[in-house]
Order: sequence, then C-alpha cells, then structure tokens
Amino acid sequence: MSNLRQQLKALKNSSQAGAVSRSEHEAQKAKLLLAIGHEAQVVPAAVEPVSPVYFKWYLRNLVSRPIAISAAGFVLLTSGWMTTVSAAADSLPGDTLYSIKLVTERAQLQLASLDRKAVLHTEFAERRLDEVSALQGQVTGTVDPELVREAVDAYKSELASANANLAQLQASNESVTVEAAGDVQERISALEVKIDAAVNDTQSTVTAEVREVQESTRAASDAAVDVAVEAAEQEDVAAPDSEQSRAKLEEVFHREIGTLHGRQAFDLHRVETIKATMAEYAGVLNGALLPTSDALSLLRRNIDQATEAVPDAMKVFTKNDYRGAFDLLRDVDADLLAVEAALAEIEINIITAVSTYQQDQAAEDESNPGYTSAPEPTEETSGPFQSPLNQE
Amino acid sequence: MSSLRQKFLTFRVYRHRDASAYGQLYDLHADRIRRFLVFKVPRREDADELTSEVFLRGWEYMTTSNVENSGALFFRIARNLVADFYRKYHPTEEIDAASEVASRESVQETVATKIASDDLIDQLRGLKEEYRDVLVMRYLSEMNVGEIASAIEKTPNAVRVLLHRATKMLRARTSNTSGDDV
Repeated sequence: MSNLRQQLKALKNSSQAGAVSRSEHEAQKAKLLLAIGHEAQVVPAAVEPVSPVYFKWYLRNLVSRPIAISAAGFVLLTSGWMTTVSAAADSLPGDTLYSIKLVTERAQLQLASLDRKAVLHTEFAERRLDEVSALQGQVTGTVDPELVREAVDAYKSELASANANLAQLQASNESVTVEAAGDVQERISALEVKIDAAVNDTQSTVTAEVREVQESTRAASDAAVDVAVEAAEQEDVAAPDSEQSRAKLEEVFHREIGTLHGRQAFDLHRVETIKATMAEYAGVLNGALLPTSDALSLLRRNIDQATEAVPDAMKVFTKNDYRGAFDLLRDVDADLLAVEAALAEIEINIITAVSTYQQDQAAEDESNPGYTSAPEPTEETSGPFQSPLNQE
Repeated sequence: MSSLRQKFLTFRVYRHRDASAYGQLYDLHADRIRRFLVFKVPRREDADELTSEVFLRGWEYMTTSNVENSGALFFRIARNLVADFYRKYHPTEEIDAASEVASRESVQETVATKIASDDLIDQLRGLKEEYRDVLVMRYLSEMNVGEIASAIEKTPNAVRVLLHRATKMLRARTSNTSGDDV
C-alpha cells in the first residue's frame, strides 16, 4: 500500500501528470502577469510579509466586526426594550402594550420602600385617571364600557393601596409616616383638582363613574389626613418638640383649607351659571322642576357660610389639637358636599329640559324644511350647560 | 504557505489590484490546478491553456469581489472551464502520444520509470472522476485533507472516505493488471 503511495508521489515529476519545469512555470506566470499587468497598479510597498495595513483589515474582519455586530445587537435589544417601555407608557387598557406598562409599574413597586410605595401608588392612580379620561375622550370607535370600568376599579385600588401602605407605616411607628401621609395627601388633592377641572371643562352631566372617582378620591384624601394626624399625635406624645412632623401636618392642613376655598368659589360660580341659564331659557324651562330665586339665594348663603368654621379650625390647630382642627374642616367639607348635591340636581333638571326642547325643535325643522325659525337657541351650543346629547 | 498569508495576498489583489501578489498566488496554486486539469482533458496542451484561463478569470473575479478562499475559487473556475471545454469539444483528433513523448521533460525520464508511471497514469485516468481528483490532489499536488475539502467543496471526513476508497480502487486495478503491490 505504501508502495502505491510512493508510486503516486513519484508521478509528481512526470510531465504527463502535469509537472512543468521551473522555467516553464515562470514563463507561463510572466505571460499571465503580462495579460493582467496593464490593469495592475504599481504598488510601491509591494508585498510585505504581513503589513500593518493588512493587520488592520484582518483585525477589522476578525475582531472588530463581530464586536461591532454584537454591540449593535445589544443596543438594538436594550433600546428595543426601552422603546417598548416608553411606547407602553402611552398605552390604554385594551392595548397590546398595556400589560408591559403594568409590569413596569409592579417592578417599580417591588424596588420601593414602604413610604415610597404609598407615593408611587398615587402616581399610578393618576395614570389610571388619565386612562379613564383618554378612554372616554377617544373619538374613533365606541368605548368599551368594560375597559372604563376596569380603569376606574384600578384607580380605586391604587388609592386603596396607597392608604394601606400608609396604615402599615403607621402601625410600624415609622418616623416618616407623617411626611409620607402628607405627600400622599398632596398628590390626592392634586387629583381632586384635576377631576374637578375635567368635569368643569367637559360641562357634561356627571356620569356615575366620575362620581365614583370623586368619592373614592375624597375618601382616600380623608384617610391620608387621618393617618397624618394620628401619626403626628403619636409623635407628639413620644417627642413633643418634633417640628418636622408638625410642619408637614401644617402643610396638609393649609392645603385642605385651600381645597375647601377652591370648592367654595367653584360652587358660587355654579350658582351664578344656573341663574344665567334660567334667565336665558326662561320660556323653555317653564315646566321644569326648578328652584325659586329665593331657594338659590339660600344655597348661595349656605356656600358663603360653609367656610366660616375655617378660622376656628386654624385657632384649634395652633393649640396643637390637630384632630379637632381637621374635624372642623370635615364639617366644612360636609356642608359643601350637601350644597354640591343640591346644585347637581338642579343642573341635571336644566340640562334635561333644554335638550328635550332642542330635540323637539330639530324634529319640527325636519318636518318643515322650508321654515327657518327658532332663532332662540342660537347660543345654545355655546351655552353654559351643553348637553352631551347635542355634541355631534 | 499559511492561510493567513494567502488571505493577505487575496486582500492585496482585491484592494490594490496587486499583480505581484497575484503572482505569488499563481506560484502556489498553478501546479495544483494544472495537475487537476491534466487528468480531465485529453491533451497536455489543453491543460496548459485551461490553467492560464483559470488564472485570468481568477484575477477578474478577485479584483472585484472579496474572496474568502482563493484556492477553492481556482478549483471552482477550473471545474467550470472543464465543463465548457467538453461542451465545445469535438474529438476529431486522436490523443496524441507523440506530443507527450516530444515534451522536454520526458526525455530526461528513465525508460523504466516512464513505463511504470505511464501505466499508473493510465490507471488513474481510468478511475472514477472524484477518486482520481482526490488522489491527484493528495499525492501529486501534496495538498492536505482540509485543502482538498475546500477545493472540492466537501467535508474533510468525506474527503478521507473518498481517499480511502480511491486508494483501494486503484490498488485493485493495478494488481489486476500487473499483479504486484497487493
């Protein structure tokens, strides 16, 4: 067998097996180089064993390129994730990316301390609120009431979680309780302002969901104040000179007063609007169940008097009776709530009457197309109580 | 020649159209290609001509594209040229033994080795094409298994199997005719 191999190797030098002499090889090579020579450029540093230029090229191919590719892949992956998360931030219930938004929120909560968690929950509650209004503001398609319902429930549960965290803080006697409760209350009162502004903007009838949101927000705000007050009292017993907690509580107290005054102003404005509307649609509203001007004046007086207790509350607060001070504010709150309920009833009656009238008018116009009358409700679309029914 | 150096030469050809680098690649591969072709076409002259053509086409290709393996490229071009050759080939002329006798080197060979080698070459020519190719590459061109694998576009293991079968087959043929080398 090795014999055969040797024979084969011996053929190497046989011309029949393709062997050529050195001179013949060189001659053929010269012919080839001549054939390609006119295309070839003269390169001064002809062929160095392995030149730096080649090393650069080789390194780029062998090392830099894979590194660059993997780096690019990494960037794409991470930026893809970041993009997804930031895209998810604008998603609404029912969207594909919505679950990613929720997952990121849960992750944030996992990493937060207890007092921070309470604040985070209020932040997320604000997002849920934005989602509710975005869902209701969607122009295209019909809004799935289920989704709105879910968002409202989620909003309520976020607020409940915030309060639960505060209760836990309080139970564990943490020194940051008052501060955290103050922060939470601050955020919740911001939410209250936002809700009121939204309701005021749309000027449509207050839906059951909105009322529910309002109520739960108010309850959460009260609960946060309770925690703040109780924690401050506990601290007072333990360390009477704790200025920090007192300052925080005072902040909460003044904010409450601010909110109450705001509501008072808003309610007064509502009374004025009702008066104006009743005057404008005097003919139309004849049959409707409406308050007399005396009743309106009474409402007005009630609103004016509602905040009379505020100076007393301030005095009580300066004597470090936090509970008594906040209880007084609660009374003011209750008075305003009673007035607001009455106002809401009147508004609903007016809207119903006006929209019934407008529908009748429209039906009449259709049956008499040549007849152009009804100049009266020209201002109705810009009227103070624009019914959702005539929004086209 | 190391594969790094070959890659460097290939790079010079591609980047700078460096004819002298291509000359070095020719030095490395010309013999292998010629041996490969000699057993594929009837006449030695045809093999020489096709060899030149392989390297002309190789130059055109390598100056326009970045080639990974120049050896594999030359063998691929050679195979295609052989196919073209037989498409145009009209066997009007007999295989001319005289031309081989007249070649310059043949006179230097001793009569005894010439007879033995002629016999072996005939046996080689009679083998199945893929057997012949691997034997020529392995023992005449002294290529290693990896180089053969990339030249005929097969895995190294497939090349080893082919080599084994080819050797067995050639041994069987030579022992049938001459009776030796069992």
